Amino acid sequence: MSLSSKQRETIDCQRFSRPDQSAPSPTAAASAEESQAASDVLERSQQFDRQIAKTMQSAEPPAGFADRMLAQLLVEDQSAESVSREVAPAADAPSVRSSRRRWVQVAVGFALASSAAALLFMALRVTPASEAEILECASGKDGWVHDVYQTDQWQTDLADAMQVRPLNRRDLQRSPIGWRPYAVQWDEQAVAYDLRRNPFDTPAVLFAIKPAGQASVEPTIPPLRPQNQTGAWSVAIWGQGDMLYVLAGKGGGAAYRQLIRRPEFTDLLRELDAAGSIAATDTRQSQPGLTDPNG
Amino acid sequence: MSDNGGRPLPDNSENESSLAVLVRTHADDLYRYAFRLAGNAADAEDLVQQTFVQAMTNLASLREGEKARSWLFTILRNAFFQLCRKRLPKTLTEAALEVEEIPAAMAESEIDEQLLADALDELPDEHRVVLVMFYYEELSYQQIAEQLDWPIGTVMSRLSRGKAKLRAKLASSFPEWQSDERPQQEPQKEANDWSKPSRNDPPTIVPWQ
Repeated sequence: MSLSSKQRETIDCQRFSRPDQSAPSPTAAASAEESQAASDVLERSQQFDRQIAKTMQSAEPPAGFADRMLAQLLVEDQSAESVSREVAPAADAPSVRSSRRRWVQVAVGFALASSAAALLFMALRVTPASEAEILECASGKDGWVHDVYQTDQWQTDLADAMQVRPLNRRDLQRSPIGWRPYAVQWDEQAVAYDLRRNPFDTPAVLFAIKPAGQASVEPTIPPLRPQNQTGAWSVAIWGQGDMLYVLAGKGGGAAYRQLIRRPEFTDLLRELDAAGSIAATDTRQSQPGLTDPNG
Repeated sequence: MSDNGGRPLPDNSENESSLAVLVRTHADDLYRYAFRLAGNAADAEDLVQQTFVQAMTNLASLREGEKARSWLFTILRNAFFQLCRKRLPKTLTEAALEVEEIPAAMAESEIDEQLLADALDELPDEHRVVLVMFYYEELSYQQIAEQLDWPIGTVMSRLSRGKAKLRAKLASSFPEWQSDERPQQEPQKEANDWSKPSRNDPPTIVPWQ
């Protein structure tokens, strides 16, 4: 049986799943014989259509896809929110801060001229004791980094973790693929985010800690260099609001820098503004610290 | 999700929870749809993410919760059309297996997942999108025409041509299915230019509501 293109279109447009009352009938205006033949073609066509639809509807999304998508959207949302929060106060009180901002901008100009040095100057401001303590706990012999990957029981529902111990997506180049509760001495509800790209990737983990009381850690962005490189791990600490973050990645400084997102100009300005006295600081005194944050 | 009367959601936390409901309910479904349209997992994930970002921004415009699926699919489809404009033209086959040539054995056979993905990938975008709407969303040709804002005749024609090419591609993997009478044609380059609509086949992108 050979059909005209119009007849083919008529048969092909019939819905396979349920009758389509408004569609033209492929058997209308045909002789009984032709009608039977058209019915046979239609039946075979719809049988085949159902097979195609069944396969087409069966594609499996990656495991935990919805959770991962939600977490990504939440961190995007939080990033946008935090940016607007940070920008708003400056716009609200220009007269009070205008002269200071100009002064800061001069400082920024100087700081940018020696950008690496200026950024390093802003590095860690944890008191030496707590810094050492945190670094020891994180990367010491039996530290968190050695313990956290002892089990592969990572949870994928990132939205839950984000609500308890949020992280700022702008700080990192990667999205976490999982998390697990990781109680530490400062926070029973701390969370470890798994930053590996897949389970076989080089270990990289971010501990999100909310210590009792206000965290006294600066800067508020990941430092450009890890504060500690113990064994095979590079570890860095920073704070944001009441949160404290400890990033640990296996590998050296280069591997560490692939985990963090480098600060943009606005971050730099904010940091300088927050530091307040940076431009008033005797640069001759600050220079040694600029080149070696660990020193 | 409650109907919000088109007003902005009252606060961010409610917005967030509405988003969570949308994502948890539709992410997997959208992924399948995106995967069939785009043909690969990476583009599919990007499309779904773009869809939710758009949805998040325009959540207040979703007035009827029960239409969320269709709304999200429309956003995703438009994102796919954007992607189509950036993709390089593919080498396509013009071989067709007409509806009356479907062998009985073929009609009864289960279709292999990868084979279907490959076959879809070799179709022109304008045929693939119609087929995915027909098979995945199970829309009628009239609904497809409404959603894409294409003339009904265009949709019928593309549906029929797309199905014939898809059948031919699937059949080519199974010699026992192939009809001796079916003409084999040379591959040709796809005229995959969505930015230049023809008079008869306007590839208008439907602005979603």
